Parts: sequence; structure tokens; C-alpha cells
Amino acid sequence: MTRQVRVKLSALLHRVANWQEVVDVSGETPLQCLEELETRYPDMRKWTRAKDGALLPQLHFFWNGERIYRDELGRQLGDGDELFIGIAVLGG
Amino acid sequence: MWKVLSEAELSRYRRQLAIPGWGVEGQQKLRQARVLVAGAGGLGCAVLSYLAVAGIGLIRVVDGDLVELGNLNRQTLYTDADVGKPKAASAKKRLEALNPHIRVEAIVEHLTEANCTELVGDCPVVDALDNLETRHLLNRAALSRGVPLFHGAVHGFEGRVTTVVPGKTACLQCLYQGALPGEVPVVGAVPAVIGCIQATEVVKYVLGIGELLANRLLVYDGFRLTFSEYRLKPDPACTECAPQAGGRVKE
Repeated sequence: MTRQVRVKLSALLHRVANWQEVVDVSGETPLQCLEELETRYPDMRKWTRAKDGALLPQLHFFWNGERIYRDELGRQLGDGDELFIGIAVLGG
Repeated sequence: MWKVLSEAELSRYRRQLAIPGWGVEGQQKLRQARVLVAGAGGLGCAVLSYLAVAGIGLIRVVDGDLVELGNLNRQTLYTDADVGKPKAASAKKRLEALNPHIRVEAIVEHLTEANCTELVGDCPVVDALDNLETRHLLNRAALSRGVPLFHGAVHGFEGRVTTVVPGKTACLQCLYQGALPGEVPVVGAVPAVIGCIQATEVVKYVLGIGELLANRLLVYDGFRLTFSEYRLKPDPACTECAPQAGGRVKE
């Protein structure tokens, strides 16, 4: 069953998502939600994927406000859940 | 036995002494405190300024870089006259002018695997660095010493801040496994916002008041002017802090 998920994006991703901060997507898992975003906004892949298609390590996911790690990206989401997709920022 | 605050100190700190839970006793705690600030760039200038004026007794500032003209859009401890001089030494001079009641130790060195743990000693650590590799070194040293690490980072209009408490919270290795390539663009006021939050965390920690950003990541979006908070949890597979993965933490 497909879930409606609200995805909040890091400020660094707003530009590649037509300057949107929040995007509603359909997806059963966090990974599927990201894939839908990448389909909708192909330029996002420059920020999310390595050349071989692997997820970049600087990508962070938070599910309903809590950090989830790579081995949790296949977890089933609930309808109305929220994801935050962040990019590691490391400047000083 | 703590030394009594002088009339000049009582006058200087009057507005903060009035805060509940602070008082003369709290101010003496700040004067007794030693804090290491790693990095005297955009974040560091803000953190250092506010730790100095708050009255942290000994600030150890570590930075091996020289001041460059391109730093001056955000690194407010320096002027054109400082260009070409070591940041740590220039920062010391400026901070001791801001508050003559404190001491600043300038360490004009880059943090390395060889010197990091020794420089950290038993001081609480402010992570005001600008690259992942050195942040990981500092994280490892703080974990092994069992001292808190006050982390801040910026990119463009975005900033992040959290406080790492060894044995209790996610560490920087849990948080970061990769970095964006290339030079980091920075809006000058953003590291000031984040650095001031780091300084607030340090002061609360020393005084033992308030709530720290422990297992909480505060994300600042200066473009839309929002603050968002996310819960952190230790990575069970962390190579630095998870016991089963080989991490060793002194609590």
C-alpha cells in the first residue's frame, strides 16, 4: 500500500526541487520516497548519488524527527509520516 | 577555595549574575573553567568572543592557519592588519582586550593524530573546525578523554549544532560519514548564529544549568529563517562510540 509522506528538504536541496522546502510524495519506505524525488527532480541526484548510483555518505535521513541509518531505509512508513532529508554541512 | 570576584568583575558581569542559577558562585565556576576551542574561523570567532566576555577563565584556542583577506566577511576577531598573521595569536590579543580578567592560550598548530588527544586534555571541547577529517580526530580525542564536544557546522545559509556527551549521545562519527567536496560558501552571519549557540551550550555546561543539545540536532535555515530540531541516536555500528563495534569511550 502506497503511503503519502511529507518530505522536508535540507536548504541545500531547495534549489534542485524548484525552491520547495517541503514536498509530498508517495512511497512505502524512505528509500522509495527519495527515488520518487529523484525522478521528479533529476538534478537532485548530483547531491544524493555517486557516479555508480550509490547513496552518498553525506546524505542524512530523519523519520518523524528521529535519525535513521542506512540499514533502516527499507523500513515501512506510515501514512502521514514525515521525512527530513539532510546533507552533512561541515564548514566552519 | 575560590578567589573572590573583584569589584571590576562584579560590575562587568552584573547583568549575567542576575540570572537564576548563575550568581557569584556560577561566575566563579566560569572563572575556574578551561575550554578548548578548535578552530578560530567563522564559528570560532563567535564562540571565542562570547566565551571570553562570559568570563571563561582559560580559553585554549588551536588553529594553525594565517588570517587571509577572504576570511574577513565572517571572522570578526580580525582586521586587515591581521592578514598574514596566525589566527590563534591574533585571536588571543583581541580576546584578552575584550576581557582582561581571562587568560587565552594560543596554540598555532594544526590538530593532528599526534597532538590532538594531548591538546584536548580534560577540557570541554568546542568543535569550530571546517573539515571532516579533523572533526573526526577531535571527536575521537573527546570520546577517549570523556569530555563533552560542542559541535557546530555551516554551509551557505544553513547551520547545524549539537552537543556530544561521551557514553550518552551520538558522536560525530555517528552523525557524519561523508562531506561535500569543494570550498564551502558561507554567509558571514550564519557561523555567528551557530557559534553563539555553541557558546551558550558551553556556559550552561560549566554552570550545570539548563538543557544541553544532547542527542538533539538543531538545524538553522537562514534563508527561510527557521530552526528545526531532530532527535539523534547513537549508531549501533559506530566505529568510534559503539562498544560492540570496537569503539572505546571514557564516560
